[in-house]
Amino acid sequence: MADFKVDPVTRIEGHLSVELTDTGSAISNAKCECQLFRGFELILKNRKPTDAPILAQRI
Amino acid sequence: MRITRREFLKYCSVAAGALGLSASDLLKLEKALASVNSVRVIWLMGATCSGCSTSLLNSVYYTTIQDLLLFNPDDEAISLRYHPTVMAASGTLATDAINTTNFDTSLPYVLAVEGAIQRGESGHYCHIGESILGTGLPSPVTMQDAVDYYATRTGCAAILSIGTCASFGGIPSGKPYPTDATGVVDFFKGKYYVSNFGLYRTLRNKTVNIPGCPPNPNWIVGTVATILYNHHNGVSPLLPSRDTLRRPRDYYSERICNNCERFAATSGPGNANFIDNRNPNQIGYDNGYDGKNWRTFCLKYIGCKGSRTKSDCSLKKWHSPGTGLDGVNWCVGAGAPCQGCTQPNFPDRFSPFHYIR
Repeated sequence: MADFKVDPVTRIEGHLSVELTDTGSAISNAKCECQLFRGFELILKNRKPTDAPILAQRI
Repeated sequence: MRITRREFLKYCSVAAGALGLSASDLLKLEKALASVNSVRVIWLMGATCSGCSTSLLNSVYYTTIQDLLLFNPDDEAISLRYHPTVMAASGTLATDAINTTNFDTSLPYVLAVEGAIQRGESGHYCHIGESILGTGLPSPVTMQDAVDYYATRTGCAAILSIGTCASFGGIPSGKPYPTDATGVVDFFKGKYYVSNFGLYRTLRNKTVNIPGCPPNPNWIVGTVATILYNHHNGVSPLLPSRDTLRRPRDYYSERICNNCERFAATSGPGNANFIDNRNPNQIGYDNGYDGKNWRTFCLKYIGCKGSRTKSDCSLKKWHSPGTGLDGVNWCVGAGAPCQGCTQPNFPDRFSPFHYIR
């Protein structure tokens, strides 16, 4: 039973962590952790629609 | 000091940007890595879109990014210990690079923060790595803990807040403030987060804000170069002179309108070039094309925030074609109203960005 964890996955945009659980012959469990939440859907509410591409392009 | 092949490979795995170099480049790299006096830089990324890093990678005007990182002569290269978007290593190998940084007062190090620091849910809206700190801070490590820790190590000579998000909170701190994001200086005011280390006032004095969404690579590279020059020549103070918002005066003292070609072509209401779209006789979003020529007109009434914005966009423009050459165009020159992205008010007080009749 081996755990393989890459915690900061680098060279990507954003933050990610990947964890694999290996039974020796196959991978039994895999988890990805998305490590950043900014709430863009909430921020876009109650603004003019023409603001949406300008703010959302910063995702 | 020559390094062995084994050490060299180890350095390559922890240093940024070492892959893909030619043989002659690698010889220069060895010289740069052998330097023991490089200023170390740790680049932490919080609530960011990586746009600031992407913009920095496009640096042309002063120097390309590879020259800044690798090929400066003698001891003047910077040693970029940790940068999640460009570094070759990942996982524990990457965090080893940051954990083995020697914090020593004789060798200054610079903390670069990109992206807002989120204080909501005890900072758990942003995790930046499990083992990034071998220091006993709780795992998983949140951005606010990491910034707090690295800003207060001995030898931290400067804290660079890259981008509007790290400077003033930026877009993640827009209404309705879903994650309580904030910039570095406001984070150090300690209102909601009680630091485990250090005094906040000295940290604020060490902070250089480099706002912009994204900031022009020249502003970042120029500030880093100023710090390196001051360090190597013993110039005090180390940091470039800053205005009240802690932005370097070299790049943020010009109001956009001062150098705008549209302002120059417009002499106020009554001039044919002054399109006022509050006038119902104007045809909608008239972009000034009369069938033959484009008119140059002030964009104030379609939402340009240039009159309230300070940066050198109108002076040096963007997308420099070569070293030492000014940029070829900029937002307003291309017809897009300025969004005011270098100001603390961005985006809430400058929204809506377009005024539509």
